[in-house]
Amino acid sequence: MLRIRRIKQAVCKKAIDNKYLSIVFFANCQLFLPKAKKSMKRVSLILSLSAVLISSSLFGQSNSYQALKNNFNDRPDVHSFNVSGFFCRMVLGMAGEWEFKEAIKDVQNIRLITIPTKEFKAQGLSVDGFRKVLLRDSFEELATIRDHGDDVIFFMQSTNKKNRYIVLIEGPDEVVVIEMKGTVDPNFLVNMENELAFQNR
Amino acid sequence: MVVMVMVMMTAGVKAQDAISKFFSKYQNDETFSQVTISSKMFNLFTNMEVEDKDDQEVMNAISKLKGLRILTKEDTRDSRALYKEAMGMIPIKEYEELMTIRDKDKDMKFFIKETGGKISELVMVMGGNEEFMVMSLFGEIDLKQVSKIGKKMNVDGLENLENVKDKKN
Repeated sequence: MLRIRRIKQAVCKKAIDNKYLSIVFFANCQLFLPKAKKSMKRVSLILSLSAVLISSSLFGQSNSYQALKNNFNDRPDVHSFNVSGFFCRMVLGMAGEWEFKEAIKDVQNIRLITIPTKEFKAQGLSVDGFRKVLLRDSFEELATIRDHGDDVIFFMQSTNKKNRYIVLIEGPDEVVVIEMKGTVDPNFLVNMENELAFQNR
Repeated sequence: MVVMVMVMMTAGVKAQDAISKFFSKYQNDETFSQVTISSKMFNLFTNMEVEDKDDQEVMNAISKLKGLRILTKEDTRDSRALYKEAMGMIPIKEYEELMTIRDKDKDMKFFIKETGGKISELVMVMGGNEEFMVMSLFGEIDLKQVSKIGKKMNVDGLENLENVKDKKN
C-alpha cells in the first residue's frame, strides 16, 4: 500500500517535473565534463539529447493509450510525459536503480499519464470502461493486484515487432497509466507485482 | 461413459468454485490484498533462455503453469478464524492433503489436486498469529520445482515444499 502510494507520488512528481528533466540531466552531465571541451561537448550533447527526445515522440502509441490521452489531455489536473527508453535507463542509472534499468534494457519508450478520478466521472467514463477498451485493442491481462483500495493491472499487447505493456493503477483519487513499448524481462514483472502487493509484510 | 465424464467435470468445477468463492467473498474487502497472475504471464517464460540448467528447469516448470491467485490479510486478529473458514471450504474429496505445518506462530496446510495422473492444482492455506494467506497455483505442476518457483516469484510459504520431492515423487 505504502509502496504503491510512494510509486504514484514519485510518478506524479516526475510528470510535473518532466519539463525540467532535460535541464537537470544537462546540468548533471556538465559537472563531469572537462572545461576545455565543454562547449563542443555541450553542442553534441544537446544534439544527441534532442534527437533522442524527438525520436521518442515519433514512436507509435497504442490506440487505447492515444484515445485516453485525447480524452483527457486538455484537462488542467492531467499530467503526461513521454521519454525514450534510453533516457529512462540513464535516469535510473543515475538513481542507482540497476535492477529496474536492466529489466527495461529492451524498452524503446515509456509514456505516462496521471488523471484525477473526478475527471473520469466528469466525462461519464470509468476505469473499467478503459479496461474493456484495452481488451478490445488486443491487450491481454498479465496480472492484477488489489491492495487496500488500490488496483493495479498489468496488460500486454503482442505485436510482430515489439510488445506493448500497459500498467493501469487506480487509486481512490487518481488513475495512473504507464505504457511501455519494447520487451520487459518477465522475471522483473512478476517480482514487481509481488513486491507491490507484499511490501508491508 | 458420457454421464461419468459429466459427473467428473461437474465435481471439478464445484471444487474450483469452492476456492473461487472464498476469493470472491473477500476480493472487495479493502483489508485484504489480492494478486492474480494469468497464464499469459507464465507463457512469457516459455521462450526465455537461461544458461544455468537448474534455472532452465524452473523456467520450463513456470511456463506450464496456468494461473496463480493469492489472498492475504495482514495485521489481523481473526487470522485463525479465516484459516478455519478457508479449510471448511476446501472439498476434502477433491484435494489430497500434502503437508501440514503447525508451530506456535502459524498453521499451514498444503493440498494438491490430481487430474490424469498429474498435479493440476496446489492450494496453500496459512493462518498465523496476525496473518492469513490462501494461495492457489494451477496448471501442470512439478512439485520438485515448486519451492524454486516460490523463491523466484517471492511467494512466502512455498519454501516449505523444498523436500517434498522425497515424499511425493
